Amino acid sequence: MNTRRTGAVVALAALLFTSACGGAEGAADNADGTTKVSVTTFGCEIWNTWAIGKGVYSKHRLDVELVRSGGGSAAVAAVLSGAADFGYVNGYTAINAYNTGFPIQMVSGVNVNALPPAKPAQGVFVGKDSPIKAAADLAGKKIAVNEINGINQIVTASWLKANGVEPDSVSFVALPFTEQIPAVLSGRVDAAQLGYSLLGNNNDNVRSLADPFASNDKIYIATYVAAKSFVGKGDAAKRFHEAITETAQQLNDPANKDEAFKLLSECQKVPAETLAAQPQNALEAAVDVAALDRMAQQMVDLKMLQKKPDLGPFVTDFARS
Amino acid sequence: MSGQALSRPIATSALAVGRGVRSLWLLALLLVVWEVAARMVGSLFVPPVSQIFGAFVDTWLSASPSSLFLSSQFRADVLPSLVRLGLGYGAATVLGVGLGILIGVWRPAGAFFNPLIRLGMSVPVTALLPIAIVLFGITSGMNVFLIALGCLWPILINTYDGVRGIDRTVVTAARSLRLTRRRYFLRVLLPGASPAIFAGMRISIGIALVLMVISELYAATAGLGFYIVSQQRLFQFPQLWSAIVLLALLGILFNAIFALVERVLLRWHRNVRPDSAESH
Repeated sequence: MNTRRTGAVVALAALLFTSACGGAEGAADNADGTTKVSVTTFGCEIWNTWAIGKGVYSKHRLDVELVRSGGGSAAVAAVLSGAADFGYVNGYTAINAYNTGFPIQMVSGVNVNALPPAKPAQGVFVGKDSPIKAAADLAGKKIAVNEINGINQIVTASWLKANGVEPDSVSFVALPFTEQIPAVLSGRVDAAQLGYSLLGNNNDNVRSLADPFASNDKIYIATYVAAKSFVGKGDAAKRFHEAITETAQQLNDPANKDEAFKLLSECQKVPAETLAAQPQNALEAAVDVAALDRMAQQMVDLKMLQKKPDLGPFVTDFARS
Repeated sequence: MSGQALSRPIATSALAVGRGVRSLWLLALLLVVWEVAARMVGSLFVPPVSQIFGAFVDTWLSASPSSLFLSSQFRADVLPSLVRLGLGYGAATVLGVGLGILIGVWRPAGAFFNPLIRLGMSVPVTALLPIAIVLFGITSGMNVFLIALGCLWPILINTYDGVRGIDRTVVTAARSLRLTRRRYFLRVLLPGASPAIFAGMRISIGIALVLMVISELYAATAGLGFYIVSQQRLFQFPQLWSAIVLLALLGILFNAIFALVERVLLRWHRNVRPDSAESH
């Protein structure tokens, strides 16, 4: 009996150490001079399909393996445990993780919100005949977002606040993107915040009150973070940022538009014409620390952070704009 | 009072303390190991126990004595969960016991419903979550439905088995005494089946807690499951662990209450006597 109990104690201790000791082990160099790195992904990102398809990663001596992650917090955990080298997270999640004390650094930006005069890429959607006409009508209502305390909730809450609606008066409900519009149409929620590209065949059944992302300043919708120890170990993080920079430049060139959507189409299994017709977020690899600072301030205003962290050490020098 | 009379309660108390220490030393040791290991490693995902307990008090018990120390966070997230759990579990008990007795007593109904019950038992209730959202919307009704459905089967099957398992001699004796249906139900059937009914209800408490949390992880606006997801997204791991500790304490509390009720109501039943329980 005592042996069993001692065994249980030893097992717990081992479990604690193994679950908590994991750390970034650093990238492995291949025989051909490339560095093998793993990058978390949510599915098909246009920059990854382009960089892999057009050999941009290879040009920067990176052998990229994409690793599926369930969300920003899972990506941070993957980076810290060594399961991935670069974690794909939105700017708010990255700031939150850094503020909590996780030893991570931002190595690149990728996606920022589409600001006017660009066509709105996102919306707060209500039913076509809904009596809700403006932000003020959403007080006391249910709004679907893809994850609680995620980027969509933060941006929507900021937009509500800017329009005189106290975000606490609204109930945010986490629903997968695919279930949000059916929930709006059946009246289970009053509104949903998602991108136009996720409306499916429901363009005519809903209308948008506004693009909450466009009502803000620059927001980093997608960035990459890495463990601090990984960044300090070699130049793989710098080369990764350079590869993303080059990819963004090429994707921003209108001449490459058709080919980019063709590559994305093969990954997403959606016709390239459909993808090309959807409003897109902007691509920006350089990190504007002032914009990140404003995002942190938004989180303070929404009481998600007690005080604004010093983001200076968070963004690597090579990633700054 | 003589010295001997005084020393008896002291000895009894000392024995009780000794028993407590004997049963809790492993838990205490595990917590110490956790504390030391977490401090050595410095992981933010698995914080030291002291930090978790600090967060527990701050999050759940930081209100004034007039509010029974229950914080606004407790009222916002734990009370809705408990209400859902109570309603779901209550509905499952009423339905499970009622239907279990019906199909146990009436053989044709048992044979008729048996395939349906087996099918219902085989479907993981969590798989019905998207359906429940469609049926009930994003309301507490969805959580109550899932909890009730998950708890129904063990209670129903145990009640059925309890009714079918009543000693035939007792049934024959009751018949020979020409008991009225009401007296037969209250004096023979219900007491005879109650150990099995209680067993089903006890199993269902754990299931109810699990389903309560799972159904709140998704499409909820309040509740312990909602709180856990929310804290995970905010990287507030001490708070997240504090909710897990609270769930564990709730589980222990419910089981203790249940054991007490069982001991009182089934005092006559050999298996629930403390002396016989220890012999198992």
